[in-house]
Amino acid sequence: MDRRSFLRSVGVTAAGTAVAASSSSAADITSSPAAGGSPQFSSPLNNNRQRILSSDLSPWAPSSGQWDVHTINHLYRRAGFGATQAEIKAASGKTPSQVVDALLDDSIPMRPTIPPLPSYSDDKSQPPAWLHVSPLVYNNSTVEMNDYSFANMKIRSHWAVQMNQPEVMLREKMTLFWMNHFVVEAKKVYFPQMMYNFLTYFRQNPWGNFKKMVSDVTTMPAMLYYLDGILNVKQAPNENYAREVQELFTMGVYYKNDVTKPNYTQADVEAVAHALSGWTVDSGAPAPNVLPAFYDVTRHDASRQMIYDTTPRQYNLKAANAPNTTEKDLFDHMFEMRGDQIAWYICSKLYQFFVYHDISGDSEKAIIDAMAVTFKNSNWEIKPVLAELLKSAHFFDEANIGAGIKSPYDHLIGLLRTFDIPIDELGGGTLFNYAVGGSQVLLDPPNVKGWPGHHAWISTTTLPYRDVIQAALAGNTGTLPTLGGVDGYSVSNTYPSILLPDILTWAKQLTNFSGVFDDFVKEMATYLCAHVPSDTVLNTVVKNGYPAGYEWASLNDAIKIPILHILLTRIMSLADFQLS
Amino acid sequence: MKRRDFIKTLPLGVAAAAIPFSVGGLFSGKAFGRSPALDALLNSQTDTDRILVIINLQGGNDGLNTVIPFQDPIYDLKRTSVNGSVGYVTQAEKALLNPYQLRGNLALNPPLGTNFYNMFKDGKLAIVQNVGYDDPNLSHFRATDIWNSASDSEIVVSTGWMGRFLESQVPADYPLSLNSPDPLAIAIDYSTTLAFQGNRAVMASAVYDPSNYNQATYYADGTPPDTNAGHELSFVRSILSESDAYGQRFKSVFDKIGHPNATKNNVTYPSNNTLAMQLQKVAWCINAGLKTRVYFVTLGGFDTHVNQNSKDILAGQGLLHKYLGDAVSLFQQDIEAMGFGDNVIGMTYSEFGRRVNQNGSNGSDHGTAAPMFLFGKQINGEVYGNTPKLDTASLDANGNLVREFDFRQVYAALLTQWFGVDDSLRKAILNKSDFTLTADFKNATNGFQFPVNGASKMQNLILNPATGGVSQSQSSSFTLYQNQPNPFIGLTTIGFTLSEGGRVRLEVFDGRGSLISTVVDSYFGRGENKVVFDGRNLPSGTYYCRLDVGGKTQTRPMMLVK
Repeated sequence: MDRRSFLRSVGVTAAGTAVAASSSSAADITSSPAAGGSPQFSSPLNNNRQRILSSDLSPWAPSSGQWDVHTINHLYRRAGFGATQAEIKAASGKTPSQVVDALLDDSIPMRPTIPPLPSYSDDKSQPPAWLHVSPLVYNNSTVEMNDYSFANMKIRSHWAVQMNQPEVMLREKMTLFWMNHFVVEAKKVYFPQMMYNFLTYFRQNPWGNFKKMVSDVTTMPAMLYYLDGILNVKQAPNENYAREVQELFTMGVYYKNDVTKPNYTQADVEAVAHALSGWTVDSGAPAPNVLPAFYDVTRHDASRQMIYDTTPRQYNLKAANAPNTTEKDLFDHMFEMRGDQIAWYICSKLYQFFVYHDISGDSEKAIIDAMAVTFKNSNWEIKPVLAELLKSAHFFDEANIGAGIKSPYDHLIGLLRTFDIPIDELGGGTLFNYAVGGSQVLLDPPNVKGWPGHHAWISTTTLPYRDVIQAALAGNTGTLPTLGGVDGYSVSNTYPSILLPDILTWAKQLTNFSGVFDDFVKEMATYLCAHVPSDTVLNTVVKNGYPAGYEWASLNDAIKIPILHILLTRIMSLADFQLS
Repeated sequence: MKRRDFIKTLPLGVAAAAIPFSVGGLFSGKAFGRSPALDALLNSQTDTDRILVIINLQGGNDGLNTVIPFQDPIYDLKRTSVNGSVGYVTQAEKALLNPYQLRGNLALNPPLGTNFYNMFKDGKLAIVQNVGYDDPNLSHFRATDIWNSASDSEIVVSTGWMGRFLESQVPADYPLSLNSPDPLAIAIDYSTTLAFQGNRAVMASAVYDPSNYNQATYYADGTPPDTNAGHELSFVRSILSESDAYGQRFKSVFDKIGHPNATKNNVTYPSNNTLAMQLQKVAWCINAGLKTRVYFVTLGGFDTHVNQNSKDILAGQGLLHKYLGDAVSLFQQDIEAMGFGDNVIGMTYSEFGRRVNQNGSNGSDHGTAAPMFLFGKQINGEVYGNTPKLDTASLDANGNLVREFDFRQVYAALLTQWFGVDDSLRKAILNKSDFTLTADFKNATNGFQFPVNGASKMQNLILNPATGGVSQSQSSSFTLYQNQPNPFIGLTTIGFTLSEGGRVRLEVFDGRGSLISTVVDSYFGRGENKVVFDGRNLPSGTYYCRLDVGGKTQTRPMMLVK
């Protein structure tokens, strides 16, 4: 019986299919005899009952046995990219709160912050030359453009290496969050030094003061280039940044997604553009401080603007080099006038990123409202909001475990972390090309709104591609498919040996490696999948054709290895594995 | 229907079954019937064998530099700034437009006109002027959603116009029960768009290259829990099962014609033109005989706030126009040479046009109305509508064009004339009670009317319109869910929803079609209902559960295992 036809028959032979833990409990329904009799109904039944979650933001206090591989992995998947078995064991000796505090520890040193030089370029000796060369030196010749695109590739590879470091997992997760919030695209910004400095800002301030972040980002060179701030001058205002800073970076179009409550008008957009005119980039500044933000008073529109209210004021930024004629800091005003809107919008994005993407339900809305209170009370500090959320009973609610869909980097770095595979930048570059196949191009989100994520990560194109990567990693190598690239970046179709785990060592750490075969397979699945597949599928699909339970313990390692390859490939090919 | 409702019904409708839907042949027998509309859609006769290719120009294509009102002096004024001009304002620049003059004051941008002018001359290209909607939104994302969902500006609709159309043609438990070998719609991409979101399922598959497809394998498992996590699990399973089923189909179809490559096309699609590479794949699919009715492709990069370069075939909007013109023209030639010229039309749309006044960065900011293109042998090639009015008094408060056509008029014309959708279904797709379109048409009383003024020929957009009669399939008023658990040992729960209360009969048949039990036959209120079926006294085997509501039925298989 081939694999496919076997699978087709599972439904019929799977007598043991687990009854879903759904709302259809016997208490709701009176049984109906097969023939005759008059059935009674309690109608309509609330099919949604379990989705109304009682859990809230109070700290989770696990009862005995609840703080286990399943829940610890949940925390590490969401607040990072996964964890090794050793890390999970270590965490089990601490409380959830202690583990979250460790993830949020500011004293953990960052990894080297400057990527190594582009190695192919001889003349760029220490210190990293490309970071401190004025872009004016380059003039779009092919060689120099190659230099820059190579440098951007180095940043991406280096980024992947950072994501794979356990101690900075939450820092890196937040960096990814911010890079998909304050979006810039390398294909427009072009200068790698700007991209790198922008990225580094979030790595240094992953959970800092949000109001300060907005103000800082507004005049960062990458953003000034990306949303045309450098072209926003008194004589010809450009409203690109003025719109997005409201629509995407702070408050959203509508308060709580209610289309009857718009947060700003087109007039506000134009007024904000006037207020921010004159901020540009000083491309003539000497090394090493090249390309700093620069305020050109001659390009600033000092006329009074009405923003969110009817009082005309001169607005600008409270910066050292801002004009002394400024009557009010633009962001002081914005956060004062639109505080509720900003608090809700940012907390809704954090919630969607860390917990669940659908926030239309009452449970989700209540949690976001509570987060917004914390956020405002903390005077726009992100850290208290994160700490409260990640320690909460709501975050650990079983209904939310596995309710996320892995992004390409969740998926790829998750494989590395799970199997404890270290990577250097060569590996990071390979991962980048795999992520392209999953439609995530680091430094180049599809547009200013960023990657839509969630369901958009999984399609009939990307899911089979993940399948092949997983199979290759599990050692069950096949031919990786040839996919077209995205934005000019290619999809890799080779799998290098440096990304292969030591499967046997990994398996031997499991409690049941030398024990009962069924228990061993179940334990593997529990480690790998946020939603644990049913015993039926483990028994009939995963173990199909493999030794009866009593044989497993007697096999020697050399025979076990190819079996492990197949078992892992099959577990990872289940839908359950794509959940986070 | 709210988004949550959609998600709630998805797992039951799509992925809860313990069998992959590729064995949907269970439902192919005549015993349980199938919507005639579905048959028409799937078993294409000449009349309904019609394909629509949708080309999305992402970022907001500057309409005034696409179909250019170049003899309007206001154009010269507004397309000039202290830092130069993005338009054709000098005599020398205007002379460049002469070969591409459509009528009077209008010419195609040369990088586009090189190919589109000939298509227009041959009567294969229609231009609909000034398409937009009232209270335009200048956000890329909101505006894109408005176009894809076909909603009013101030109303958020979580389904797409194509999703609603295609869903109206399939049974309620699509794709589980649909004996369709092919996706109803394909996005040549990594993901699909809101345009294809139905109430119950996504009606398109994202396939980067159907001719070279690497399918996943779907492993059936039990019913997911009714939790957030369970709903996401159902979603991933539904994509796995799609990939599994369609992958086998693609392979067999493309194997039959030999693996497609450049030599299978009648033209050479340039590999540096991303739109051409997508349309080439569409041509392969059509040639291979896929029954897919709608294809979706994209060309991005139109957000030209700076360095718009409309005149330059090497950069900016000019380059994008060259891509668009080259790709569409090659595709049209290819399709005609394949013999499908009368079966395929295409449509372009962009979320908005751009501000009439250019900005000071040699670019243009977000605007409103803009032209749409329609192409194909069956398109009645013409310029529909008026030349844009650029004088300040004619613009809105933000200096943007005021729409002449609502984009849903174009959708309505395509649904009616190309797909043969009848009046009531068209209104259901475009004019649901939760968003009123009549307000858009001041003198209209009954859904869409075509303006008498200047564009009456919109009623004749298609040369040989479909004969019509495509109506709502049976699926809208009730849904029978897969029983839970399934397979079952003794007791199993059967759930169904009613959009309105009514008399319901639920029967169970055995594999030979003999009635085993009438489980219920009585009145039920609207909403969700559940009953338990007791199979403890029955032998193992496949049973069929049939729900009859007002003479319309839905059926699902159940597996009893002892």
